[in-house]
Amino acid sequence: MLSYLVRRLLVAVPLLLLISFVVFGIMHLLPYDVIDSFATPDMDREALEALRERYGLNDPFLVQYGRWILGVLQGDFGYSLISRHSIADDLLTKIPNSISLVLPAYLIALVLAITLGLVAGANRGRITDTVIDTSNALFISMPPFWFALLVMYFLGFQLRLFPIIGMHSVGRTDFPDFLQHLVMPGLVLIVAFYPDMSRYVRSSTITQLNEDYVMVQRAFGASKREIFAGHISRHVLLPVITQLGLALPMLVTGALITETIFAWPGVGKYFADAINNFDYPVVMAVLLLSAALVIIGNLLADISYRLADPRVRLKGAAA
Amino acid sequence: MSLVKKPRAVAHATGEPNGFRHRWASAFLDSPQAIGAAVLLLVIVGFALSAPLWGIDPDALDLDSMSQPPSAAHWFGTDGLGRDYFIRVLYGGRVSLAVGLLATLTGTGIGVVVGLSAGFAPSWLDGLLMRIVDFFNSLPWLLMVMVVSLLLKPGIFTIVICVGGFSWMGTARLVRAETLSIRERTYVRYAVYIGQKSFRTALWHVLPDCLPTILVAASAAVSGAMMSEATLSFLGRGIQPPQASWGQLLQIAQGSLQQLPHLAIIPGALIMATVYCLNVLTNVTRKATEVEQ
Repeated sequence: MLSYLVRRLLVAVPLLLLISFVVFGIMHLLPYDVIDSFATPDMDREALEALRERYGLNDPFLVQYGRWILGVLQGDFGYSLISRHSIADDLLTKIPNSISLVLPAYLIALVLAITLGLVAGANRGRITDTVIDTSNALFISMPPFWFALLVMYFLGFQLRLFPIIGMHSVGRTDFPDFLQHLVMPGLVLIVAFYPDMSRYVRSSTITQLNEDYVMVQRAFGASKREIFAGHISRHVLLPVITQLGLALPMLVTGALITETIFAWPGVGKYFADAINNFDYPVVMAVLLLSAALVIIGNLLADISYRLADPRVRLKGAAA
Repeated sequence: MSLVKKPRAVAHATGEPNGFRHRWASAFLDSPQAIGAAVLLLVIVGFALSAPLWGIDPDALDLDSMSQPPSAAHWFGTDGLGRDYFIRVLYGGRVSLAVGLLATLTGTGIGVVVGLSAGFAPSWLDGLLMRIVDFFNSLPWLLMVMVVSLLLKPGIFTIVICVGGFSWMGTARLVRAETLSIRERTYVRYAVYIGQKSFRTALWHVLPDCLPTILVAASAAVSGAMMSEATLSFLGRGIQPPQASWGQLLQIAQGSLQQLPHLAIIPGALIMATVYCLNVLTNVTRKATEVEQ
């Protein structure tokens, strides 16, 4: 296990470095830099050139990259071109905002998906199954941002049940107010997350039902409830739980579209705004963070899968 | 059924009862849902293709009839500039469908080339190609696509490159796995034995056998690509006005959602219907490839 971990980390670190290099390279190609962002029309060419020199923008590409990556390693992501805020500080306030939206939605979606998936699988071919499976297929085909607009129109504008945008009303920070703001974007995320998982649970339930052990249990007179509670649910849930690591990057950037529509002050909206304003230090920071989370998430999923099921031999583990 | 399994390529080419085409047809005809989906899809595509035949200019402003709800004169109403929304939706559909197809062709093309090469290449090249796949897989794609779209001039071409260039990894993996197994079949080994060049072997003997797998991947990719195009355009990084696509129409509709909800409801419903039909047909294709195993 230990050697496996070491090996995976040895792959993950260069991969992250490579990604950071590519990201920095792309940003470098953009016809726009820090100086352009605060240049005013009355500054002359020489002044701008002097500024470029002072900020090190005339240094070779590799020197600039080295400076940036060394800063990142010390937790210094630089400054936003638009707001001049420290990006690290910005992220420290945006990340909790994103998590407070995505985590509850994801957990509810997970419970919903498992319940619906098991129920549909247990009633395969009956009307319950047809309804669940068809609704899953329809929700999968639905663009999340369209659903967001529908929710906003009907629940927000027509019925006036919930506030349309933001995380708090002006001048309020209490919890009930926060919850009111959470409902609509949360609903959109739940509907975006659960159908895929629910389909997966349904199809693995159906696979398990055809296994020999179920037939043996039946032959010995076990009730459907016993078979499901004691055996099938375990077999079906294990892979679902171990794959939770894959959801790690979603906590931070999984709600990009939803946050943009509902003006939720999270990392997704931060990134979308940065893209539209060519705020490239912010773009690089969020990209790198997100790529790191994807890699860590995959690693967590593989490790927990191995811990949960000792039959799985992972590549690199002692044979 | 005979006990001797014929290579898929032969069965495919002759169209005999266990051929892929035959299995596809029977899976298709067995499912009323699939037939319904195909009909609906044909209707949507037909309407989109017919856009120039209606003789309405999608960019013509009519300041006397701005922001109208659907009526007999304007079936889908008019937008904030008085443009007929029905014809804009048709033209938008052409762009959305075209991007879906072109991005799929791009993505599938890259995936097939990478997958076939990896399956045939010496192990170091195979390893390298698979590491590239890993690299692309560990990129947060939506963020990455938004960044790449900054580099290129927004438009159909950029979107096709962005969506296709970040969606080929699954196909590459599938084709590689398929190639590795097909490579061991007698007729392929014979081809190698008599000195056929690997390039020719790959193209003439392995590729045709991979086709059903490729077809499933590609058919799933079309709906994925349409969804990606809509997402990008909705975020303002895709199709730019005055050109329209369904995602771009939704982006504009967002601004006047409270007054003109139909501007948002119609293109979204069309995306959903198209994607749903494509998914149903993908399942039919998948079923037809699975019967064999």
